[in-house]
Amino acid sequence: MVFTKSDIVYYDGIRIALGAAAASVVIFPFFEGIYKNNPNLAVNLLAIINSTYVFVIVDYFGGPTTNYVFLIYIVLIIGYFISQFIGFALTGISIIYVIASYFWQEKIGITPYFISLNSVIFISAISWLIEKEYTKTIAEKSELEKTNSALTSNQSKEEALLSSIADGVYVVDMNRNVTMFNTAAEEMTGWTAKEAQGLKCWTVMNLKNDQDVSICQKDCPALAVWNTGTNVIRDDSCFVKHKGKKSVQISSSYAPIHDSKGSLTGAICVFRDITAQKELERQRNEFVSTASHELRTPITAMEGYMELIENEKICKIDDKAKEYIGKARNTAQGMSNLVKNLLSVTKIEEGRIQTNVTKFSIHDLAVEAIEGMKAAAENKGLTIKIVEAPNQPVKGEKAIGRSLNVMADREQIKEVLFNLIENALKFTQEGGISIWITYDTDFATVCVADTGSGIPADGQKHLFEKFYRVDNSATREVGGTGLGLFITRAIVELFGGKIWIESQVGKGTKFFFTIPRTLD
Amino acid sequence: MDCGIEENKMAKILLVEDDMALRDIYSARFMAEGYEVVTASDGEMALTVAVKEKPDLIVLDVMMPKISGFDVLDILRATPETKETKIIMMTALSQPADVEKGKSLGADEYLVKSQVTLTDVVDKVKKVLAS
Repeated sequence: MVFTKSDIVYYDGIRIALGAAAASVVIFPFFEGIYKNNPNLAVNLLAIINSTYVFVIVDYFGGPTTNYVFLIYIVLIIGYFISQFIGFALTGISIIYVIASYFWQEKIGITPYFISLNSVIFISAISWLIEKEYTKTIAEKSELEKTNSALTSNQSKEEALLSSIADGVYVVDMNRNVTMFNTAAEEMTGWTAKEAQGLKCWTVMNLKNDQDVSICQKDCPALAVWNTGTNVIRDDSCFVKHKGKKSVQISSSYAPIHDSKGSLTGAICVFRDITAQKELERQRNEFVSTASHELRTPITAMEGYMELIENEKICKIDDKAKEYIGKARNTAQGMSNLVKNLLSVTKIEEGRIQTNVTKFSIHDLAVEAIEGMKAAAENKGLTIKIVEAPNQPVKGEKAIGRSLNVMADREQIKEVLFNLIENALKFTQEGGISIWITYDTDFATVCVADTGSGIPADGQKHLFEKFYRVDNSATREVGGTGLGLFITRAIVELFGGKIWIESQVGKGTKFFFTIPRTLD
Repeated sequence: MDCGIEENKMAKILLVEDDMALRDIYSARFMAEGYEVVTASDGEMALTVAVKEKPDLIVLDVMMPKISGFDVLDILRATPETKETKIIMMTALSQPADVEKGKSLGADEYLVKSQVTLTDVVDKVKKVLAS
């Protein structure tokens, strides 16, 4: 079938082009639908449709004059299956072939072939572009979905982590508004995360100490963190008020938050309910206290019987028995001291020390203490005396012209002096002990110095710990409970003083402690 | 054992103490000093023995079962036979409040066991009996 120019109706061309466009519009939704589930299938179907269309159009208008026209069709399909580009290229080649074969046969201008081939090119190009765009959009969408789901899964992981840990976690911004509040925090405070969001941290957390005084006002840990630039830990006497129930004692740790550029953006707090832990400590302390009380009776009885044995009016014993009973009594005395110290320690741990604070002269007390220890010192051939301070004894404005009295429990400070002097005597073999007192505006500083063996630096760190004893062979015979310095420090600090040591091996030891002076 | 000639040494002491070992020890010590010692192991017995034996001095423990030393002190001071008897209170407790209570109820002396030795107690006994 061959058309001549006269048979061409211009509108046929428009109709073909429009038909092709319409067909594309119809095909597209199907294409999209299939593409969602199976992109490959969709592309391949498109290839078949393209090829069919090419073939139909070309054939409708006479087609290339060859018996092997079906081969062209198959080649096109295969080409499209392999790749869009190859398919498109092959379409181009077959179009050129058709045109060329036509031109070999007859010279015409615009022909149905031309129009149909153009439509085919047009359709192919459009479908290729559509597919390219579509693929790009699908790819972008799936990338976005992947990133989103990665983000959501990360976020959910983060949220899951935060909501499942038992510690409370909250974050505040630089205005101390709460920006994050985890599940455990909700449980411990009675505030929900929604409620807490945006509120000031002191409204939600409302920290108080054991005297029920607000910590948030005077001692805000977030401010401390930002001012010092380091982590802050509050692990004692910090209570958070539960909205509906009673306060919970917590141990908390605060850290600053920086952004990627290093500037401060807020603070994060992790806190833990330590009520159970504190209760256990209290029970342990009570146990030690009860056990110590129980020990006192048999120890007293033991000491009593031994004293009876040593009493010549009651018992007749030989010298050997006397010697051994004497040693047994000393041991019992040591036990008795240990029990007494244990009881003091339990009282310290519970904050139950009773005091009778008065104004007194620390100088006179020191004189008394020395009198009491004189005998023990002389037994060992050591001297003990009060001396003038090596440097200026009274310094600081308002320090002079005022009484040199101090405010504390006189008996307990006497205990402190006894303990320090006893220690000094234990560790000094020759020379003696000197005591001097200096005064500044607020405190009196007492120094107990000895000419003993000195304490090595690593031992000094642990000196005030319970049951610590400086480890060297000389001290093993020296005895002592290991609790003396712990109790001494507790007493000094109870009255607002400090205690510290200066010591070098072979050069002796100096213990210093301060007591607040009275205002008048 | 010598029975001293001085009046002091012939004195009779009533020791009220629920702990057996302490009762043993204090009795032995007091007897070594020449005193006559009678004992009671609780408050009720103490009241009976006090009226019957009419001691010169009562050494009275505070912490006892059934009725406490303070109650015994109170009753002793209310009973005509024992109103004037010298009484030394002994306790393991060292609260200032308890010392006050003892003094206010009429004890002549108040001793804290953990702060005094056996010799200190004997010295106090001698001092109270001499006064």
